[in-house]
Amino acid sequence: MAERVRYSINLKKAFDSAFASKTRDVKAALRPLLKKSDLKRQIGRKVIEEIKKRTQEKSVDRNGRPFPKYSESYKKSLAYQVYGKSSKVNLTLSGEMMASMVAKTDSPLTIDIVMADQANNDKAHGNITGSYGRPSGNSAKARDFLGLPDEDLQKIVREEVNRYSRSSTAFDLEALVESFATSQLARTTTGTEAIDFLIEGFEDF
Amino acid sequence: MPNIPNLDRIITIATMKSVLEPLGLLAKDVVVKRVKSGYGLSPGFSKVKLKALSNSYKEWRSGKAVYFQKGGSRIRISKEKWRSISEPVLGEFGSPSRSNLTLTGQLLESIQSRINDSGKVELFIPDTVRKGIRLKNGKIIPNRARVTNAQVAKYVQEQGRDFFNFTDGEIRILTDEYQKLINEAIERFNF
Repeated sequence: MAERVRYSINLKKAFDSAFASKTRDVKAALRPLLKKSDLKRQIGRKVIEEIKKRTQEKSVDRNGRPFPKYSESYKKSLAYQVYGKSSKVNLTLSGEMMASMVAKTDSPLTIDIVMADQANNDKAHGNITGSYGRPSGNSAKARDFLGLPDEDLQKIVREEVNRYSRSSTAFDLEALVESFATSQLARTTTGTEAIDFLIEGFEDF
Repeated sequence: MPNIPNLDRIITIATMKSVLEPLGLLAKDVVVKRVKSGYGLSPGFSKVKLKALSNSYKEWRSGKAVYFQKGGSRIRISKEKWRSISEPVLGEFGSPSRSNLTLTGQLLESIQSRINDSGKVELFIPDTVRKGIRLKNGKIIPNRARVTNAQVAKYVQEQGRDFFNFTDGEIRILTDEYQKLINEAIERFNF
């Protein structure tokens, strides 16, 4: 069992950098928003989105460096073939690891991006340290995807704080869709006949 | 606090066929690829290696021997003694010793998704009668007992190879996709 991986975001620091060019009054007006839990959740969501985009589309790590290539033995593995992966390094086989990032917003002025369960934490740990199940890491093989360059984080904080200050309804819509989807999707235990996993459906309009 | 948008409208969008049907297809893909990779589910819905195949079954799948029951005992006949023994033509990603529920490939291919009478998206394995097993020598072992895919699914699960459900991680993949589909539909309908 690998140690827990996390990307800890110091909101105060990110805010100060993001709004460095603004006047003291503007900063003083906006800073209290950092305590709003829905704003923190939204920043967390956007950070996860950006990490996924960088990893899956740009194939770069948290510092912007390209990921090391996949090994030949991995390319020959059954799973690699079954999932029809290309040689593009995007840390996405089944997609479980990337889908398992969650934002914890319990601490004041901090957002922690962590993995939702131990199995995916272990996978992430293997990638971040380059250990891949071995006792020690190997920096030459490491693919540290869990994080963002400071300027990218600051951009997200700036955009979301500004958006929040304007009370955008689009902001709430994203949060509502996420909470709706999460609440609806649950497995039901069955035999072989069927797995129901959603609520009622209607005809398209 | 910003305005709360109309939840009813989100529900309407989120329950449209064009949102639910792609989700059903993805759900099938998630199960099939996991199983083809050799993984089933533990009782707590964790991903676990499917139970290994028995040695005798592996021998049959590789065309080295066949086994018969006679008078309560099992008789092994090897390829050396019976030259016409032939191995089956395995489904995609099947191999003689790999446990991935792929003898012919019919079971996993048969999984279907639908929006059922009560309006839920579900995956199911139909009671369709399986085709015979094709051998590499061109012959076919007919399915005289008219065994169905649903029966095979039940059997393999009773044998300790649970596969027909989702891990927590898979649920998260589906949730992510569901959100994406809802958001796309919201944009499409200019919600």
